[in-house]
Amino acid sequence: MSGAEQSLSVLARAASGDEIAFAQLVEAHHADMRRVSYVVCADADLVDEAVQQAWQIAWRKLGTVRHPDRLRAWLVSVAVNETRQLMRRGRRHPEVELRPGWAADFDTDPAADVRLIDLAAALRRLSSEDRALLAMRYVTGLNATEISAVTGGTPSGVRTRLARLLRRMREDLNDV
Amino acid sequence: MMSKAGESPEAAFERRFAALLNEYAAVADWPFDANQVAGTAALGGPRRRNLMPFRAAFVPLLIACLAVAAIAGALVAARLLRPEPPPVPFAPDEVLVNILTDRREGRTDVVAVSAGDGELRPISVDGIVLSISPDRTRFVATGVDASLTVISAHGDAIAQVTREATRATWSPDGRRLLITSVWSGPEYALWDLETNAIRRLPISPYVPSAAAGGVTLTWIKERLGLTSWAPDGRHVLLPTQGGLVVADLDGVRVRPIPGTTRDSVGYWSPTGDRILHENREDGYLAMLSVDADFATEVLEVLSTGSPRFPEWSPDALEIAFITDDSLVVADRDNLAGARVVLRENVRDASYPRWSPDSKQLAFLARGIFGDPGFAGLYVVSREGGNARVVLAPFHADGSESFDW
Repeated sequence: MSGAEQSLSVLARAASGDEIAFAQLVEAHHADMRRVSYVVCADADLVDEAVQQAWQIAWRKLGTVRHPDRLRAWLVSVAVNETRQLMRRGRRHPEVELRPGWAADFDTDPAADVRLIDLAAALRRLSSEDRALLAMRYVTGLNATEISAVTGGTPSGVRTRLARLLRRMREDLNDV
Repeated sequence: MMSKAGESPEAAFERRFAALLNEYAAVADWPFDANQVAGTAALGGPRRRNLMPFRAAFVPLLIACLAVAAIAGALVAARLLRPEPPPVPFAPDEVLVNILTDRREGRTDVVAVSAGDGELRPISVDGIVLSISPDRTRFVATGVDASLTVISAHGDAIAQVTREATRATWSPDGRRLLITSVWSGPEYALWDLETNAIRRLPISPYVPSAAAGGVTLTWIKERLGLTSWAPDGRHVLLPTQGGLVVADLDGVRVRPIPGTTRDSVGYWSPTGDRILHENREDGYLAMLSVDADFATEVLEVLSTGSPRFPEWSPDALEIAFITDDSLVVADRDNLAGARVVLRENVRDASYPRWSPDSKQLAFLARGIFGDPGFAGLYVVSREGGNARVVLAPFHADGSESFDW
């Protein structure tokens, strides 16, 4: 069985309620969903909640995903939507969160940590929609076609928005 | 960061930005905080001190100060260079037990009980013992907030992971802990106690069945999440939804164990050539041989008497387990020939624990005085005979956790 056929089989089995197949999907996509959610909200607690809810939705609606090559983009977009909804509901705004590892890194490369703090501040100035776009492109590696399929719009429109966002990030991070 | 040859400034920024964003997003990979607990030195080296330079205004004062500084420096150096005393281990006869000291608040203290004379030694407050390190100098316990703490044999907290963790098993060299957590969906993670780094393994312990029209990832069956290290220290045996899998320390699945299900728990023998497979749902034990590539073969299956809670002896020759009405010990090559060690007070017992020299077994019996809140700690020879009551009755919190 080829890789594509295998993916199709796992998706079909998971959609029909096969828990083992569903577990395989969780293993394959859970980390991506968490990372993208974190870029959107910068709140580890909210990430937990959002991704939980995203998997509940996935469990119910997995049957609507016809093509396994669109599954990752779909799951990530569900996680993004849940994250944004929770942010709206709780009126939570992204905050710069320093993890202990960053502090430890100061011993070796303080510049790296300053860059992360600057990045967090720059992301906070964007809309959640723009943060999601950057995360889908650069964290999960989705291309413009895949992103546009789940967010709406056209691939060229996504490319234009990404180019604009990158220019803004470059200015905000003083990377000229 | 350097640009690659021929790369436009925009493309170079895009590459750098992607790397930076991924580093930022990695915070979501493991939301746990690992800390060395202040006030202890068991894991950390001596603290460096900043010596402030000063300028002398007068030569005599300078000479005097230099002399004082030299003496003080020598004293400081002597202190810093003095080797740390080796950590004191638990005595070979000490069993760690949880005692419920405040039922209303649910406070559970940890005490060391001598299996010889029943003498109690308080170790720490508010913790539930998970397991003693292989060198018996430390143990790991969960707190009321489900944080995980490594504690010395004298009760000094050494290191801590915040957030929920339900189980932790020591690597054979005692340098790492494999954690089972239910914080953000069930997950396994490795905690390196020397570097204090924690990373999640990309293997999910369990995804529960759909219930009430939904699915939740935060629920984990009590018996699941029990992990086991291979003696090589480089592989672990993990329960998953699809059955037991052998994984390496990066969480890469090396080999699934055929014939196992989501209700399976595996126990690697101390010699590494056997795995005992327990399926408590279906009520059987299966002894598997393991070759160098982790291929397994079923050698024997035992299902009579609902065998459960197996525990390898430290010498890897025998397995103790509980049946319907007995504590039994079986040769690793003959589960069916298990001999009864004890028939009294074992109905509600769970995991028996071997003494470090493999000569005795301890077990907790619950339901003393007909009250499930009372327990007794018993010790019996591996050859059988009368069990000695080491500690009874005491308030227990219902957890199965104790260790020898």
